[in-house]
Amino acid sequence: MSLLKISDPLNDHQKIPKLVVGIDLGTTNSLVATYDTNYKIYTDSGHDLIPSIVAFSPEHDISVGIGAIKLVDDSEVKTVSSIKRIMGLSYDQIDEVSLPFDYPIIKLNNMPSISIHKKNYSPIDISSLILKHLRNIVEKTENSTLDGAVITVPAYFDDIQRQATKNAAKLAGVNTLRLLNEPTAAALAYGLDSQDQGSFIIYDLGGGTFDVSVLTLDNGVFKVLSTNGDTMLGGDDIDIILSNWLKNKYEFLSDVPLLTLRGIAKIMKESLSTNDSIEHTFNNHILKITRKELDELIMPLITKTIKIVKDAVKASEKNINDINKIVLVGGSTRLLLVRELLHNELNCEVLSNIDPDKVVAYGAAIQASIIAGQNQDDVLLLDVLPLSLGIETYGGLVEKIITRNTPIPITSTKTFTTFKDGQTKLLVHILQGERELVNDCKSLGQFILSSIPPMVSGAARIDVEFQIDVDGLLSVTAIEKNSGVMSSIDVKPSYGLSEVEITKMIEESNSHANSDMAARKLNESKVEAKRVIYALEQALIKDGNELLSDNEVSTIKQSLSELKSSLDKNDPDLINHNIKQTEQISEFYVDRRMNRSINSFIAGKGVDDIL
Amino acid sequence: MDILNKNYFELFNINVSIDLNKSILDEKVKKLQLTFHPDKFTNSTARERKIALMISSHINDGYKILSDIVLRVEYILKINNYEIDDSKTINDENFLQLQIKYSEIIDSLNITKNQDLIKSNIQDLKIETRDIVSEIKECYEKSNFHGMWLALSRLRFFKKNIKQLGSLLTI
Repeated sequence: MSLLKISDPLNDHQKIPKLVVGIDLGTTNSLVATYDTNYKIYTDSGHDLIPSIVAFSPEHDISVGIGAIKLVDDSEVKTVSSIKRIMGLSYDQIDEVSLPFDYPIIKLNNMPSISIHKKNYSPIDISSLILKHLRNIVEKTENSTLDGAVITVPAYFDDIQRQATKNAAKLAGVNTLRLLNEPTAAALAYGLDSQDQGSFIIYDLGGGTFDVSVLTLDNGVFKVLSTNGDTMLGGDDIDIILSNWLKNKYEFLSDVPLLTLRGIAKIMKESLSTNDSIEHTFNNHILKITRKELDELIMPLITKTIKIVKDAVKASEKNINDINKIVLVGGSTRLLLVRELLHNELNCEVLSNIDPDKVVAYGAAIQASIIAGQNQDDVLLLDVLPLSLGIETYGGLVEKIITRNTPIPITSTKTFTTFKDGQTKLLVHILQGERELVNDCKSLGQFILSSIPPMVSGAARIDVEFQIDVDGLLSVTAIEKNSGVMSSIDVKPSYGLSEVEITKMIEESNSHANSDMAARKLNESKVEAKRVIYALEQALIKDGNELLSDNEVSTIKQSLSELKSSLDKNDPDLINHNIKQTEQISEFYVDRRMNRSINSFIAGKGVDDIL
Repeated sequence: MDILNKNYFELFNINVSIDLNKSILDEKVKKLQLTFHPDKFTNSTARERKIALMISSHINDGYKILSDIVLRVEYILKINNYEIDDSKTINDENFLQLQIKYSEIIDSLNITKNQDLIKSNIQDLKIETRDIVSEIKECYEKSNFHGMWLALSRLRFFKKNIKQLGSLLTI
């Protein structure tokens, strides 16, 4: 059992206490939690569940969460909720999305923007306001700066939706440690709690999205086998169906505002999880519905989720009999119909002993603690790409480069060539989705490869590498094989924001709070510097003499001491410069260590005596 | 990085062979990822984090290829420097007839969705693939790469049919 010892030198981290949290950024409610040996939920005026609602006064005073809920009835104030439903969607895509507000939505850079009191807010803006609120709650409670957060996203979110979430965090001054898939987060919370082993289905029906993941748990390693879902299906849809039904049945409801009616529907739906029928009094009228009536109304929707579950099981290549348990996540799984259908159709034990509203935040908190190096060294999450990635080929067809349910991180290289003599540019169109036609997939962006050395047609060989990282996000690099020239890539998102635009937005939003921004920047530089110093010093102690000549050791030590002395000067630019320099100087050393580590692995010192 | 130039069998420290025990491969991948997954490097330097991402991707890529019989055989041909020439046509009367037979079967099952028939056909196809795999194994032992390549195109066809039929099964 020497395996972990072999890799130890690389994995040792200083236990610098860090403030890291898990954030469940939900459609209806958000939660923020931390994990040490126990969970701690940060509350908003005493509430665990923080409504994902933002309120704007005519003067553009902004309230979020519980503060916003209190203003819902104020006719001067405009509130925005369920923004997650349109995160990362193009303007054209939001036609079919039903939203619980009716402010004008305008088209800006092909993205939707909500016009409130004559000011425009993109979904990223609204999300970042929610995240900023969560950050403030944590920082006020702990009286300390937030170092980072694991933010959960629906497993079925595509690249643009994930990127939008990460951008919202950036805008809110939240450092994203990881984007974690919601069902995977729930599995983590359950797995650590129960110490179970085997195969599981996570069924996650939230306010706005439905996700399912099939995964195995084996001695602390959570391996997602397949994932499936619908980002447009959730409890909100049930409220809409039910409020339409109420409106048809009770004529006097036709004048009641949309939001109020949905609120009533929600209350009635929730009480049917414990009662066979419910009578609700509204404006001296009695509204009545039985559980049987509700079940009939929502049967098509729940049947749809069951089909998605079955498809996910199929894709996992597991037999349904191999599945040990189904874990329920999300408030909408309180519906009795969900539990009954799952039990009958899949014949599995259905688990819901951890609060379905909180389990995702718990899992995110654990993951934050793990990747900050503060907990559970032996736990690892291995996730998959939810939707296939492809490029446009002749005739409007999509050629898949990486298929869905491939374990991530993953790279795939595709070779392109030129069609004309002397051609120096090439356009590559990237798409995501399972369908065969370009028009049926989601366009992620176009990449222009330029500065290709001029050659006769077909002679250039441009290798384009598609890298999916652990957040499920894509990046692209290209190199011309024959000349070794790195082709530059110009990324043009089909919609959404480019890196440059995000940076600009952050600068603009921070221009009012310059001093706060400067302090944050300095803190970030110092944390990064300390990490570099610690990592290198530990490495030098472990194997500096073995892998380096005396000269090399002193060069590295020299640059380390420069970095250390710059820490006191409170100049983030100087610190960052010295970090970069130290990293460059020690690059060869890091490579040697990594090589040695993998070589000893392959030599079988660790792995074979375990198998 | 040396590691990125190693072939996948070397990476997982297993002998090059047509047969491969999936659970052993799973275990190897798990152990490697426990060491090299980027989540294990969040407190390391940027360089280490980048290398970890590359190695971890390489491991997953290797897993994808070695865990699939078709991709694995293609890969074995590749590391033996056998040039795959897809322009060559295969003259195999029996195989042609089998192709026609199965495409008709699949067409009709697409409509009837008769579960028992689907299952029995999948079973038949699995027996066919087992025979082809033994054939590939024999060829490999004799370093008959061309023979491997010929058998591979049949294997690909049967695997594709099994997948198509599998998608018609209801749970």
